[in-house]
Amino acid sequence: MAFALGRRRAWLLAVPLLLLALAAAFTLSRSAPANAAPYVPKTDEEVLETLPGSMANNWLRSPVDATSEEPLDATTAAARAHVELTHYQESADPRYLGRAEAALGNFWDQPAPPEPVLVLRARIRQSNHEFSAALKDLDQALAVSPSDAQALLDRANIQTVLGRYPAALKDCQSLEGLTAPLYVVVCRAAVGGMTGSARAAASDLSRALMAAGVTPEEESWGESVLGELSTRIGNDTAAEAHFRRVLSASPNDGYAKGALADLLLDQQRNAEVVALLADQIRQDALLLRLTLAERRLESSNYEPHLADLRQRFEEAHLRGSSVHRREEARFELALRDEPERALTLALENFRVQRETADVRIALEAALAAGHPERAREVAAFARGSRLEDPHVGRLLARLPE
Amino acid sequence: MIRALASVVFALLLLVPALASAHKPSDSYLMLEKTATGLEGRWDIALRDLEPAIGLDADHDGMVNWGELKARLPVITAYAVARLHARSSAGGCAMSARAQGVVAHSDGKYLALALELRCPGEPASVTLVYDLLFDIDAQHRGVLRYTDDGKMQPFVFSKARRSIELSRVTPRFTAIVRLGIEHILSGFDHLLFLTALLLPAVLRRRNGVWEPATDFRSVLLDVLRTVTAFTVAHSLTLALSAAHWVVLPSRFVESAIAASIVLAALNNLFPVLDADRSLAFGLGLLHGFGFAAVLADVGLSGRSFLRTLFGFNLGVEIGQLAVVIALLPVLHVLRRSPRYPTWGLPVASTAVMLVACVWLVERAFDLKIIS
Repeated sequence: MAFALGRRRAWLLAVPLLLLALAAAFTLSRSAPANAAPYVPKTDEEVLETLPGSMANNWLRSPVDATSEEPLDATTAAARAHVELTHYQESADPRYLGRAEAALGNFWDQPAPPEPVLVLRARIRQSNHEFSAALKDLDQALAVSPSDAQALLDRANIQTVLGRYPAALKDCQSLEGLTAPLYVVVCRAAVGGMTGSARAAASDLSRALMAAGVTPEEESWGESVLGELSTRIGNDTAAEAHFRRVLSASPNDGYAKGALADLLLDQQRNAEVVALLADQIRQDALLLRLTLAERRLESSNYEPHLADLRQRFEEAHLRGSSVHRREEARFELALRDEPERALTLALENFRVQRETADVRIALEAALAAGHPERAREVAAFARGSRLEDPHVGRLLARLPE
Repeated sequence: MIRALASVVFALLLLVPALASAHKPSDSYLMLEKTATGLEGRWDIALRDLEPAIGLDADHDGMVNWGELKARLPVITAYAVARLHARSSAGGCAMSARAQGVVAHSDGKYLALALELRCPGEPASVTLVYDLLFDIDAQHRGVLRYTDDGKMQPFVFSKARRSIELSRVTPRFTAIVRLGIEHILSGFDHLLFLTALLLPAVLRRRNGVWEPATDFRSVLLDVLRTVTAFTVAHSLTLALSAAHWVVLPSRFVESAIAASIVLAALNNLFPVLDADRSLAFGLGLLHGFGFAAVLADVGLSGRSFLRTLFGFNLGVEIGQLAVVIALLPVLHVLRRSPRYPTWGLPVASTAVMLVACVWLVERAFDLKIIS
């Protein structure tokens, strides 16, 4: 039909074509992450990627086709998965979670794999925020061996995250006699910190840490829990000291860095946050806090870091991941000024996990969006469990009973 | 929250290098576009993911440079191609991959592969089977952006979903109706034909001369009959042509449509056929073939055939009705003008005829006259 187009009609066609081209250009510019143009490096020496050291001596060093391999025994599979999980806990790089899952091979899909596999599978699922599946695995593992301390502590941890405090306390109690007393104290302290007895929990924990035989790693662990309890009771000076002690022992502890950054952000010590996190931009959660500080300081790094975060959340959406709803809610609220979107995300997140930070972001977003009524369930939960956090307390005061 | 016990029990002091890239789960990015013969596009695979699968770091210095990557390109390409398959209803598609360079995503550099898939038969629907890296990273995802006819659809391959069927994008009903409206309103030839038919609607032929119609109600009825005849005719041939039961070469159809306007205008000047309806019906058959050409571009297949055909036709009729409603007041005025039968009608019809003649010559001989 093209030959029949007189120039006049061709001109008419040009208008929609131009509009289409504009629309296409707009779409392309918006979805920049996956559409950046490939380039050919100029020299052979150009370094393209720095590999994490943990990949060097990997069980996957040579190409392995899982299907052609001999079926793994549970012990080997669990050992391999364990190595990957350890890397994950040190680096917070989620690729290791996928590798841990792959290392479990066919055991991953079995309804009743051996007990060590169950505990590891639960740990991987917990890290992916699949809490109910993780609980099911731990229930199953503890039915087989009721005195598995690791499984008990993991289950108590998940129950605490879900806000099921009596169940968590019961697991802490069962731990007694199975591990060093410190673990029982930390287990109870974590629940106490959420249910109105943070002060007592903190003094119990301080005392337990002074006992003989506590390893440096255990001490760091206890210190970060103490830091959190101190924040809960409003003793920011003590909290800061605890987190700094953890960081002096292990400077790359992402958890302590995040907690300390939050503390500093709440005190408007933004420059210190930048100093703390300037080189910590691999982890989304830490980059988020850094960008927050940079915004307040009107730093020149703010815009590029904001764009970077945005790309990361877009990429997470592309793969269908919703693990970082809490961070994304904070991103929408504090960096993009989109309280409505933040509230939706925060409420979705609250359905999955109920830690202090989850309560706080939901209340903040609801107030910012002018919809306090939408956070009614969150407020009722915080009041019902007697959560002590001063920030949460201030937010609750602005909400009707 | 209580931090995981394992971090205490099994802690290793391992320095995490502070790099500019993000920690991100493993994804590969497939951007594929539908072509006449199959699919083409790009596939970005992370170097971080290729390292454990293939081994890129030849000198074991913990870094991958372009020289090391270049040396492994044939192996990587073979590895990737063996893990992506496509087939259409007629059989497997042939795939070729060529390294295009490297590209940055938020978690580091990726190798970009240019892909071309040629599928046998009419590749109306292609099934893609993706099996990259799941054996190494069970959380790996293949993020696919599939573009068909300018519309992008996202898909995600996972360990549990390795096969995805890419069917043609079915446009929404309202979009099809709109296409019909746009086509009739921008297609001057159909409107000119309709105008030629309606010009004498306010007149009656009596003893070889045009006389004004006695009342406007009869004019309305006349218009209604003419438009209905045109509609029935072009709907009929549109359906026949869309279903591929009758297929005419488009150059012939386009020329014949121009001729139909010439004939309709001539009939106003030298009336041979008394009833406009037979003219509207007979020549309207040609216009249906013209509409069908537009529908072929949208794509008609299977279950959506009737829906698309109906929607498009509905759009054409809505557009046509709008034109008729706009013409009615004009006709009403013309009916009362004494000069219309002697001057207006012949002049307007001659003008229409001339334009149509130019189109006819243009289309029949593939020339461009009207610039």
